[in-house]
Amino acid sequence: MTHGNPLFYNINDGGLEAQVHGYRAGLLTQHDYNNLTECDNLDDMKMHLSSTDYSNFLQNEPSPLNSGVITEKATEKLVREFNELRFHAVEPLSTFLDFITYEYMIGNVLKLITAVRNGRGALELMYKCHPLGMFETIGALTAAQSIDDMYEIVLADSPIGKFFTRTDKRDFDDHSTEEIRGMLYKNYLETFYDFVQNLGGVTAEIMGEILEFEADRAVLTITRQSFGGKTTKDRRKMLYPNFGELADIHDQLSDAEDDTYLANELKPYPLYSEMLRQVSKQVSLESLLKKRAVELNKNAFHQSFGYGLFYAFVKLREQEISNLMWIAECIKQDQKHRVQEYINIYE
Amino acid sequence: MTDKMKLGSDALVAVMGDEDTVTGFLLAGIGDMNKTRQPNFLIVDNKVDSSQIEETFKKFVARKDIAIILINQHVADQIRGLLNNYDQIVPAILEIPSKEIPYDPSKDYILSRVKQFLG
Amino acid sequence: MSSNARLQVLPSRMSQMQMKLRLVGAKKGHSLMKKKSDALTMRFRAILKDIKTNKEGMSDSFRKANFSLSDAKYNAGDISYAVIESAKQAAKKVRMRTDNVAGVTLPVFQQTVDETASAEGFTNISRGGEQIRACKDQFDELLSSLVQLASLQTSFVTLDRAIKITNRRVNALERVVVPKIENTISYITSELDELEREDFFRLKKIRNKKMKDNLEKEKELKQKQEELAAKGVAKVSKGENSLLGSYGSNVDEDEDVIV
Repeated sequence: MTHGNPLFYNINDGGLEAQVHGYRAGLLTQHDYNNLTECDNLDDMKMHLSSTDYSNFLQNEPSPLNSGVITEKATEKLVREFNELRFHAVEPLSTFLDFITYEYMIGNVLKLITAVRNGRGALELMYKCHPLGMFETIGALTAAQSIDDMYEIVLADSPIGKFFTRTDKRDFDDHSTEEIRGMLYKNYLETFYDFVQNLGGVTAEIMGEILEFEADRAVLTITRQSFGGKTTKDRRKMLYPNFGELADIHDQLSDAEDDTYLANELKPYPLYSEMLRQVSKQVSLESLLKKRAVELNKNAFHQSFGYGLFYAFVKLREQEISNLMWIAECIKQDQKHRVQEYINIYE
Repeated sequence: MTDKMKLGSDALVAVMGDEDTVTGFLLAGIGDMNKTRQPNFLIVDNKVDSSQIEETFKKFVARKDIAIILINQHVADQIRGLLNNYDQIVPAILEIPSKEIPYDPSKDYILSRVKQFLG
Repeated sequence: MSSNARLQVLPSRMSQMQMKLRLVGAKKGHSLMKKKSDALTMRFRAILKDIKTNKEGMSDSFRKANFSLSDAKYNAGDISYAVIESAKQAAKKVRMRTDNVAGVTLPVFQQTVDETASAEGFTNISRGGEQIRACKDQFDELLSSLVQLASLQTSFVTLDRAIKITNRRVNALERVVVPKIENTISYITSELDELEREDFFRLKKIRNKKMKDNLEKEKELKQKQEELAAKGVAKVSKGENSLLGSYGSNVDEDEDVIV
């Protein structure tokens, strides 16, 4: 096993690691955020952004700008950076990077599944697909008449086909799109987790922590979202990824119907019980979980000789793009009093 | 009015507007696809021109199962002539603000008639 | 319509009676119509104010709702496609009721909720669910107020029309129907007066002629009496009878001359 050995790491992945560190240095600073939140209109934002790593990415966009354009163009930048890394990567980093894209592929395929379910032309949805989640045969999905077709013709051989095989695909029609999403995501997280554990070393350590948290995050979100809903306990449990800190209490959590019960079950887990305690009308559990994810991703940059920082960079850049959207929406819709609610990446 | 719609029967609220406006009202639960797969909403983005808006508007007005049509003001602007001559009572046409473009009460076809009376 | 326009009637006591009844009816109708118009106008003004405040307050509600959608998108990603694609059957509809103001039927919308359809609508169990629910609530609220506004708007248009029609009728009664009946009545009255005067004149003339005739007859009578005084009294009563008969035919001739 060469992975994790500093000597070999530098030969294969050292250059790319340096490149990611460079990208990370290009993330917006607190100073940039301060300037952006002071803007009175989106053209001001464009001007401030032109002095950052984004430089003149909005150069060809006519006024008036909207948050959609900013998000789109910023995402293009992320995709460019990612593709450059992917192009130069060798195994096993290349597979690791592919894993990052699978999450977006799942998102895209679900969009198309929704369209097929409703008998709509899926073609017009293609342009709404996330560019990181494109794969060669995705276009063929638009021709499918049913989800079974989709699976047989395209998905089985696609990069994310393996996430379908773990679920019983014949039961597709019994599940809502959201449940299919949950199952795919569960399988994705589990496979990704296995992969990083096999890599071992710093990657297993850092990515292990991140993915365990993501698993717990999924469990908590699904549990709270299905309070009093139609998702039965069995189905709820089926969507829980089979690892993470909370794995021991999955049975109990699948019974939870309110926050009091949940708080009681979470008592042995200080991180989550503290989060639940902080939840109020102004602070949602989801935003607390999101902050924690950002925290973990930031920490990934403190360790060398692991792949964690590649994953972390994509996630942090993505959060930054969300933040730009939030700030732009606040400015455009005259809601400046809420502009500070973005997730702070570098304090 | 009575020949337009049977009293006591349930009718739809239609919406014509940008993606966010349509998303919001569909989230509230007004979205519908009838038996011939005709939706009761139109997403107006930069690929939709005024003749398509006009056509959809006329179609909605003619449908007996639509009682109210919500329309973004900037979309209404594109069929202003049609609206100014609109004299049916049902469906009722409501001009509504959009996220991107501020709402101008002086353009609203009902509000401008209202203002005539209030002086 | 000229000011002395009148209805085509035969001037008689009978039609005069009829016209007087019609005048009372028209005046009563006018005051009722006027009251109806006042009632409608009052309601109309109230609705105008409601529409104005509602429409002006609308921008704020929309801003709140739109921003909650931004919030949902910030947390859940772009949900538009999923929401739009999952539209199948409307959960929120409106039902038409009617409201009655002074005999005018106003269509009013009432919101209805189809529970089964709303259960099948867009559901989210992954990230951003909290914000999506908050956004749905905002748009729910917005929809209810828009349905109310739609009712006000239909009332506005209906009342506007009804008031115009009522006012047209009030004006018609005031400016056309009532003056016409009044003109007709004065026409009948003047015709009847004229007839009366003619009758009087004719009677006077007859009386004069009768007096003249009587004088002649007396003269003749005197002459005959003088002759009879010589021949005897037996034939006198017979001659008087024939004179009375010719008096009747004289009246007929007179009348022809006058008319």
